[in-house]
Amino acid sequence: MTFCPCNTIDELASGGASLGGSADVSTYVPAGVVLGGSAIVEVRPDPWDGMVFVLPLDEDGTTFLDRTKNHLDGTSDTATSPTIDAGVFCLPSQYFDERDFITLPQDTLRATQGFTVSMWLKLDSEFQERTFYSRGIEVDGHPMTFSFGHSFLNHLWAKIVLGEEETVYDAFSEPIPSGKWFHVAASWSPSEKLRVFLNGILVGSVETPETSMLATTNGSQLGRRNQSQSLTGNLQEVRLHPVARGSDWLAAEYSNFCHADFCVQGETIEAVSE
Amino acid sequence: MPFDDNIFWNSNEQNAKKLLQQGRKWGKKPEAQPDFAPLSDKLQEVAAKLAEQGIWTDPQVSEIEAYQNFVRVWDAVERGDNITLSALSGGYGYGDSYDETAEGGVLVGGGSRRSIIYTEDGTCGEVEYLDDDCYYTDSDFDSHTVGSTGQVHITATAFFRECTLNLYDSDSTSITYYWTDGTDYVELYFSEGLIRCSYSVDGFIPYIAEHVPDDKPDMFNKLDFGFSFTWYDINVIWDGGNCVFGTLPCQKVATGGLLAGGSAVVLSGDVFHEVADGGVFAGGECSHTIIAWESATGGLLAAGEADLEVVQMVGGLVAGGSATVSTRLSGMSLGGMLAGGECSNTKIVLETAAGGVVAGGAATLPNSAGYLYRTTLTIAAEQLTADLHSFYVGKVVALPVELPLDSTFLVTDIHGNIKDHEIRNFDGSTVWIFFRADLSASIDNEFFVFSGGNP
Repeated sequence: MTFCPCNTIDELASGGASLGGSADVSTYVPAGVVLGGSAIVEVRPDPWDGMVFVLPLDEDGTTFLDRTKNHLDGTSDTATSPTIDAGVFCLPSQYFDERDFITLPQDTLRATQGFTVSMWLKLDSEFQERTFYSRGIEVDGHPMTFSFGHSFLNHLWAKIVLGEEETVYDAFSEPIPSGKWFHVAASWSPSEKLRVFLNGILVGSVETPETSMLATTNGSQLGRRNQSQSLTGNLQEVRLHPVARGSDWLAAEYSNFCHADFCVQGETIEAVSE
Repeated sequence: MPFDDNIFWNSNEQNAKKLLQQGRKWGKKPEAQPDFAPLSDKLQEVAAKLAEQGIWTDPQVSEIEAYQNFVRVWDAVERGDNITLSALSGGYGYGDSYDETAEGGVLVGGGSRRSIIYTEDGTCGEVEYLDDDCYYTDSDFDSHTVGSTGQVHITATAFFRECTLNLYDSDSTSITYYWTDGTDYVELYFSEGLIRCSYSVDGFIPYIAEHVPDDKPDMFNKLDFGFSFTWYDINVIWDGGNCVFGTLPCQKVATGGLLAGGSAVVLSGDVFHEVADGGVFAGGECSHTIIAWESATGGLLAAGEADLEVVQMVGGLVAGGSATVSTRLSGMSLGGMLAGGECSNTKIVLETAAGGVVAGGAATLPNSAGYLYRTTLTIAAEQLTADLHSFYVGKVVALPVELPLDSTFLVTDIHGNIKDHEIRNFDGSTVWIFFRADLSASIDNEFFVFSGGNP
């Protein structure tokens, strides 16, 4: 049997995946069996599989689409909507000013699940305590469980509320300058650490022995925490990962954007039919 | 003129041509009552089956005439009707245009012809038997006007003696066709010129095609090219024996299969615009390139051989035999892409393929995947400090040529495994593409971005 690598099924395969030879099926095949043959079956074409949300923030308006299948689209109202602005790669970002913020639906993270939030950031203020991303909104008894922003002196500042005691942990970086784009990230590993990364480099951490964070019962916000700490600056490509990423990953994410030699375009040839 | 039964069942091209020649001569019947001959045994069976299915029960709706082994069924077809003709099996089909559903086979053999005029506004319902009018009494059919917006889909056979048909194209310009049954050719006079057509099937079709007036391309769209399409339709609907045909205007539903057997030689690119439930080719061989724009439920090729160019197939692409899938295999292929035999494939199934991709046999696939250009992306191992699983690579790719903004792309690794991707920004000359891939920190990671062609 000749292997048939290009015969890829990208979606649902109902009624069987392969009827002869051998099969390599990566996802489920409802109502079907693999009887043989040679086939590669990939199900659900979603480049962002494995992410909680991916928000490029490249829209001009009050809706900001999540590119994952979770559809955790951000929304704002006209009065407090950020303004589309140039960002990394000269592609759009959102400029937050005054009381601008974006509301996100409740995500799917479990309380015991490690996570990472990463984004591109350019601050446009100093001597203000501001928030990039906050998970949970303290209204009507809902708790705020995590926030990522900067301090009065522009330290990156991650804050998480853990355990039944609702212990608050903070992790800081050194101050970062305003007016310059940075790749920033914060991650939490249950029973390990809350970490802060700058351009893929670990720049701050705190040990967090708890195994669960305070459960979130409502949505999240970009550009503010609860009703305040409104950001002055740009955000772009905000991603929530359902795992705690390390420097290996985040440095690659940073380099993928910023280092021209990370992914190199080679020659283009006219495709050949065999 | 008697027919040779064997002609219908032989499977070589010459006999098919001979059959057509006989059909032309046979068309010079006296204008009196047709010379009915007793039904053959096979046609007796056909008649019985038709009666069972109710086709014959109302003489106002349909009637049948039998000339030895030639059966003609005329149906008063209205839009939306289901026409069941599956009882007709074997023999030679003189063609019809089916703009609606015909379940159980368009014409599974037999000798059948029917002419229908449709109007494009959806009301349709008008059924005319042009071939009959022309055939029996020239004077009975002097002209027929279809309306300024009407789409005329005329089915006629080579049984004309002489008739004139006045039609109107979309801008109400009168176009006059003269169909003259000469000694060995038919002449079609357009207001813009002359088309002279041989009766020979393999000569007739290209000859017509070469003489389409340059300034009237839409005329053929609007009028469906009248006579010439007749031939195509005739031969598309075929069960058994040889089938030699050209462009296939199979525009609507044909449940039960288009070609149920025999071998088919298609002389030019064929287009199945719409649905063909039950399969396009159910058997035999097909030296053929198909552009199937829509679904062919039940399979495109159930057996035999074919060169295929497919967009969307429901029910399987190739159920047996061998196929050269040259281009454009994208979209849905429910029931399997290749259920048996061999497949030399330059394409991939981009979307749903339920029921299997390769169900047997061998398949070889080049890496072009139907796109014109392949651009290599490399992430050197030294760029990474650890292997990364399901990393989201983003890359602004400079494209080799300016591409339409509705272009699609394909990302694979060097083994041809497709990587899910998202186009974030595409301006025709550059594309910011994201794809998910495992990255190695020990060996360089190479990927291909395919562009151009939009398979």
